[in-house]
Amino acid sequence: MKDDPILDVLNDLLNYDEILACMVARLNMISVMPDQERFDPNVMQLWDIIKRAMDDVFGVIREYSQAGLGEIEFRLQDYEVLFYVFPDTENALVAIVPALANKGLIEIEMENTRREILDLISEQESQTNTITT
Amino acid sequence: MDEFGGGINEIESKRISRVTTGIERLDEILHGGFPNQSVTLVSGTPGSGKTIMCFHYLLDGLKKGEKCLFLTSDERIENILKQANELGFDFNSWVNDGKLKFMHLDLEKSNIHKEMGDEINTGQYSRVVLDSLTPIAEVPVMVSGGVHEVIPADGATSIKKYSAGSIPATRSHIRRIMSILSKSNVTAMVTSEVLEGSRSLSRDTISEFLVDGILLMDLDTTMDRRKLTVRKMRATKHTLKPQDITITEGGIKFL
Repeated sequence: MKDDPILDVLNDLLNYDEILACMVARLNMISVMPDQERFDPNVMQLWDIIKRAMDDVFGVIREYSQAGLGEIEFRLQDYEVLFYVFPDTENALVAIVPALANKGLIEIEMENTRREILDLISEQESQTNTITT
Repeated sequence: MDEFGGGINEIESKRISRVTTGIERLDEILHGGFPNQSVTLVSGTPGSGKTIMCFHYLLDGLKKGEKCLFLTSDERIENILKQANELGFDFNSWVNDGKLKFMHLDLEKSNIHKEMGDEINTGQYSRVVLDSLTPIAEVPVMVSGGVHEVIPADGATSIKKYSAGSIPATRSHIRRIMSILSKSNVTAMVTSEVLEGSRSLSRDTISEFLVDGILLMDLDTTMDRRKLTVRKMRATKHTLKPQDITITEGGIKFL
């Protein structure tokens, strides 16, 4: 997808060495995702199981987002999957990082990215007219 | 994640007679379109663009001189025409020429299978759209007798005991509808609504197993993103990767 500011933000996040993969997703749908070629190949090998586990977590996010759920993370083999929920939505910024990564810096980058995306969503809302039947 | 339908020779995939979808990029993904005389399920949450997909498909056929049928049960025909018109699909002249027929299936009647079958078999249609299967599938049916009679196939006498609304009766009912479409000479498109967050490919959870192809339309209202995924297409080597789409005046566009 060309000219997508949210994709640009995710591509910037992916520039950090310890972010092995990232995306904006919701239950059963990856909404915005950088080119998978940029993801760590080891993560891709585990993708099927990560995807299934992600969908289960999104079921929890769906239930508790309105109650103020902010973040969820789980460890799977040598990786941690971080979910930064967009408030009051079913969507989250998802990143896969090494299990032994320095989480302090990653948390700051994730929070900055979440805020940037929230700003972009607000901008989009004021500009977009949707047409459906 | 970019997977391909396994075991299908690419040359074989291209050799099959195809019916174009009305969306150029989708035709490219499907090596020319839907397999001729197939039934494709278009499933998605409300507002995901299923009906617009049907408009593209019908208009494409009409422009090629084909006769088309639009079956509906939950929308007034005037409303469908108005919605189509607002998106740039002007079907009025085709309706007036008798090339396109909109048919309302009255779910209060007990003979919807016969009504549908007779129209398809006698109308010499090339393309048929059923939008949507969901309300029809949810009509309480009895396998034998009652409001909606589903006539069992020869030798299938045991299913006569199924009561109205039971899962086997509903399955027979949906099978009957799919059978009408697949045994005729038409290439059909059937829509089905799925609930937000559901992992099923149709509301009835049965029809996805009875069709030749499945197009899944996803909608993320928060991020204002739409995706179209070819989940299954008989005799077609295709990507399983969700494609970014948008809906504007003029219909569905790939990004």
